[in-house]
Amino acid sequence: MTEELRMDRKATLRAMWAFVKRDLKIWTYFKLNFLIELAGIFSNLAIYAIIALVAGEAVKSFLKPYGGEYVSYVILGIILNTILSTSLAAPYWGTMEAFWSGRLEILMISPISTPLFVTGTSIGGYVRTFINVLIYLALGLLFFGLRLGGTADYALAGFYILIAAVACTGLGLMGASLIYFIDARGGQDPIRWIVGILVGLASGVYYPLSILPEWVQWLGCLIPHTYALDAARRAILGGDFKNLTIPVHRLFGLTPLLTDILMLIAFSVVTVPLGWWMYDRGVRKAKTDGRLSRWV
Amino acid sequence: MDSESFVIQTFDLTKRFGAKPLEEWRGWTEQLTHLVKEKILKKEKKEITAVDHVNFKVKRGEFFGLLGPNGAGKTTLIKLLTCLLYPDDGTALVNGFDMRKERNEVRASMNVIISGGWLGFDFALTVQQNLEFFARLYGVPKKLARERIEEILTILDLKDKRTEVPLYLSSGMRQKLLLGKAFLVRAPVLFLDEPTIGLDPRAAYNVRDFVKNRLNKEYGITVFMSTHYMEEADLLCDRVAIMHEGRIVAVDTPENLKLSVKKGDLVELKVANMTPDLAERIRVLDGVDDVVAHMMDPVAGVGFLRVHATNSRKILAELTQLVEKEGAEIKFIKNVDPTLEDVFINFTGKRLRE
Repeated sequence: MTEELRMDRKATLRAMWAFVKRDLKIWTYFKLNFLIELAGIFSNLAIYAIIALVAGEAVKSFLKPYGGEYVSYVILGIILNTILSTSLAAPYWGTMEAFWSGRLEILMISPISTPLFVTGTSIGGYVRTFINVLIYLALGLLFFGLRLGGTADYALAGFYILIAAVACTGLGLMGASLIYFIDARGGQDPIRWIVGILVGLASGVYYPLSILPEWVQWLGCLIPHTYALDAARRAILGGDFKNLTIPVHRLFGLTPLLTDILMLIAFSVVTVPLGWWMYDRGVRKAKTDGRLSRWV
Repeated sequence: MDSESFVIQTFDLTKRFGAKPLEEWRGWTEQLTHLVKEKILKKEKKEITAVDHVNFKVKRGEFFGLLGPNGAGKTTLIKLLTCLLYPDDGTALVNGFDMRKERNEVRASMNVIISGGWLGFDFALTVQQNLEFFARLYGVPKKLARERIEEILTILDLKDKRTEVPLYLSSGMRQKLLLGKAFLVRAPVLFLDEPTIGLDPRAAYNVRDFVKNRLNKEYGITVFMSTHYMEEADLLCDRVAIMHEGRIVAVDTPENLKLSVKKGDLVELKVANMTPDLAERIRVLDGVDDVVAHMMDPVAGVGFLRVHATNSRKILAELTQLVEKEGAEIKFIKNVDPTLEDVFINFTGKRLRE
């Protein structure tokens, strides 16, 4: 009359889909929030469109490798950063949401594995971001003058973004593991905090890296965002593929795109295993010292 | 009895925690400071033993109770057995799987209903959707999950609440919904941590009835329940373990446990104007073995006295005289049978609700 519960591949996929459905329901539960988010995207695009009107001409010469036009450059930067920020933050927020809502123990007690648990709690963020990216693109194209290059290679850009997202997920897992190691439960972890500063300052989301002092440009080389933004913009905005825009490009004598992909792969190879290892060790630590539990 | 007859077996299971209260672990800066102190400056680490070399066995299909006051280590023990905490020493077998080496198998063998577990429901999902999500987490096939959800909603009288979100359900209904999860996933072992805490008497009755008659008797699920309600343990459990300060001090059927403390007669008095030293005065009477006093209303001085005597008839006159002489008023006096509370006092020297 009783049964033992096994999670085979089919059951795992079903569980994953259940997480997606659940997160979409939670996201759309408060209809007003969705509208506010939409308005936020619109106003964000409007701000950068206005900045482009004011300062677009001044930075034009720096944007040659990326098609030369600021508004498309910055909108694409925001879109790519939205994707990579999700990869960076999803493991942390997934775990935190489960903790504060009292679901962490229920998930940890269930037969789902740690990777499924992390992916399941994070996947909602990715789905949301995917929808937001479509909205960004639609609004950008319709109202704010986003122009994609005639020779845009979306597959190539997508490949770079994917590898960068994988690398950022590794960093995100490392950050999320600090929830367990040092109780970073207040909405921020030191790794994401440092990466966030570098992204805003020196990755090239809002302005080209080449306008910054050399030593700041080197700081930008420490995060995967810089390489992904460089390569994806070249591929989508139809810029040139030869101009060296990041200090690392000058180190190996390779083409910028090849250097970018090698750097992104190197980041992924280091951060993903390290992130999983740290997360797993963190869970073990939490289960050893018992400090994570809300069930007392 | 061979080892396969036991669904839970513990072997010197032990868990220690740092003595610092959990509330003091606030942010990551405090954590780093602590790490520096502990790891680099090598400051002495104090520990408390929450579960102390615990050994017991639970038979397959049994309704097993873990009785103890708050802080006895009951929840820690359940967390250990459900792999939510890792032990420092010892181990346990759950459904034949070692909790140290076969954690996935242990998790696949059990279901847990934790106190306050309704917090884990999704506020944006309806009752039915929450159950569906839970079924997916446990790999229950879609068709089977749908059938069982219908059955659960009918049995638990929640059919008309299926489209409501758990946030707006009463506490009794939420607890019923939690138990529905146990019904949805019929794992061999069900751990229940204080399942009726905070429920009104009617809701508590329904929960007990469902767990005992449906889950345990009808479906043969082994139930491991922690509680600090002695009446609940007495009523439901085939066997009870008494837990005190991290140790199991006694394990037996409620009847045998009560018999073990029945050495003479037990007299219960309800008294008004009870003075703090009344129990001590009674204790020195000839023929009195022990006295336990419990003040119900300190303002009015109303309380209970349980007097253990070799022969209650012989002390009755002297006892009533003494109580009245001390200025107290006897509301009632009667011979009673020992309860699990008396068992607990006998083994620990303390009351369950102290």
